[in-house]
Amino acid sequence: VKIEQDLIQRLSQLSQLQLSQEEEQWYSEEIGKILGYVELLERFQTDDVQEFDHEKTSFFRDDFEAKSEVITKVLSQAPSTEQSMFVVPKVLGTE
Amino acid sequence: MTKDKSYLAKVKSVKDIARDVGSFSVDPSFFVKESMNIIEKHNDVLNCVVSIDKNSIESQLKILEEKLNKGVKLPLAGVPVIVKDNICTSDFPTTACSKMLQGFYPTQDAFVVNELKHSGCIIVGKANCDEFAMGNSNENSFFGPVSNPWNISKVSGGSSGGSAVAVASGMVPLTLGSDTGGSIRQPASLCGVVGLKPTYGHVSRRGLIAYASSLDQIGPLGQKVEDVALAMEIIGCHDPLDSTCVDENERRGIQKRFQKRGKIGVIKEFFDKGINSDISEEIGNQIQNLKSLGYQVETISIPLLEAALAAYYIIATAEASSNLARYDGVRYGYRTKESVRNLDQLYRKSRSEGFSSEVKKRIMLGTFVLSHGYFEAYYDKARKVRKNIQSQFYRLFNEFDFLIGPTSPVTAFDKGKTLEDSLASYLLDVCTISVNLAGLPAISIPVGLDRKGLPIGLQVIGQPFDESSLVSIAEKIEKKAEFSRHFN
Repeated sequence: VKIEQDLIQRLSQLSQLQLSQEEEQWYSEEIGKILGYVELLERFQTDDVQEFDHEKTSFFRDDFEAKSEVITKVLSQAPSTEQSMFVVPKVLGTE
Repeated sequence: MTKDKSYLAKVKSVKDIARDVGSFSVDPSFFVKESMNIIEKHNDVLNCVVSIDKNSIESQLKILEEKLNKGVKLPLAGVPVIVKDNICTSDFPTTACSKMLQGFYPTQDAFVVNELKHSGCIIVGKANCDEFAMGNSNENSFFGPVSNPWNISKVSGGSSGGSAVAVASGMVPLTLGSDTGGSIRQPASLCGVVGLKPTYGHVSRRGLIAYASSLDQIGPLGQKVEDVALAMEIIGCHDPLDSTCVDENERRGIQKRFQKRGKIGVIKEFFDKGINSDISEEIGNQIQNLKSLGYQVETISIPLLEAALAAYYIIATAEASSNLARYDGVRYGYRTKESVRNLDQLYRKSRSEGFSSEVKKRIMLGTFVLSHGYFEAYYDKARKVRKNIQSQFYRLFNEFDFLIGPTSPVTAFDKGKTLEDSLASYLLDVCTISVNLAGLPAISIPVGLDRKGLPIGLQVIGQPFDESSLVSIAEKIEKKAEFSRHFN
């Protein structure tokens, strides 16, 4: 299966990944190979499959109140913080 | 070829360790120290352990001693355990062997780690694995490949390669791995140890770094079936905080739908093209053994299995693309060192630098199969095929107690081989993947060696939530095969 350049660019964008031209080429080939292989699924009839189990069941449990003291621990894992907040680059006003 | 067995060592059973420690016949730290010695001696070559924390071990031992002194009975007292690096441990880094998570300390232990600690285990380290459990040779790890103790030029298998090798080399009697498409059973097979993949929903996934949530299960590896069974009892209790974890009542209900008839089915498709002839021969011997134990053995065919691998790579990557979206370089994990102008660039650069090419490939493939215009043809089709595979297995279990075949079509192969052709390496998962799609329990038991002296594993697939019958037939097979004689 041939993956065109604009498709691989769209996929990398949706996946929040940045690829070099060389990488685009490599991923196109690799993903193309796998998509070529999975085409065999077409041979298997699935018209009779209807409902999925997980769509029939929902899982709920009761809420419970508990004290959480993990904020410092959570923040200690972040690459950059200020007070109790995560620091990120400018979100608005950039291209 | 000379048979160098210097990296293989027989371990004492978990029950014996717990008895010795619990009865104060030895110091509570005795087996942990032994374990540390072997790790120190062999890990440079085997590379199966990626982190150790002596302070954590000390504090765990202190808690253990206090409990023992108070007379608390612990089923796994003083048993050293190594846990796969994609399972959260608050006092050891948990990285899923990815650059993305270097130095990451989770705020909590995984449910299974908690259960092991409560039973008296001492977590001594974290096991190497393929990055985010994506791979079957343990060569796709930020920490480098794991070596197979049977022949160090060979791979350990994966993705739980470190967990399998830590057990085979006698570093610890018990490890935890995770299995999404064979990641416990295949390395167990390639390293000559026992590996159990529980029924989907039997073991809590809380604290397991998600790869493909509808397929992932945590399970134990050990040298003996008995040890693996004991660990399963401990980690298999219900966790209300994992909504896919099935409670005891429901498990019993599902189990009751199936009966035992003394019949075993041999899956013909597992012996198709590409299987090593030594393996098919050895599995043939095992079939004879099972017949001599009184089982009626029949060969069966499941033509639909041809579709399993394709369905798996669509479903698993779709789920991975969603699960791995959380790594953004903001709240934890790797953040690019390059200067960025906006948030989008921060995400993109951090993710591109933090993930390996294999992980990126799966994320993009998963994004593709879920995207508008392709969803029905790929993802929807794959989950329908999956449903049919599951129904077919369930129908077979109305007639058969167990289904068997090899765990892997090959024994341990040379390092570097899977990196050359990724699609060919995916095909090596042909015997294990359908079990995950159907959510069934399965165990790999070492039963013999090929002509190169490398281990061969027999896979037994059981009825849903009937791990206890699976373990009991595995013990019979183990006894007949006498595989432990191959260890020093």
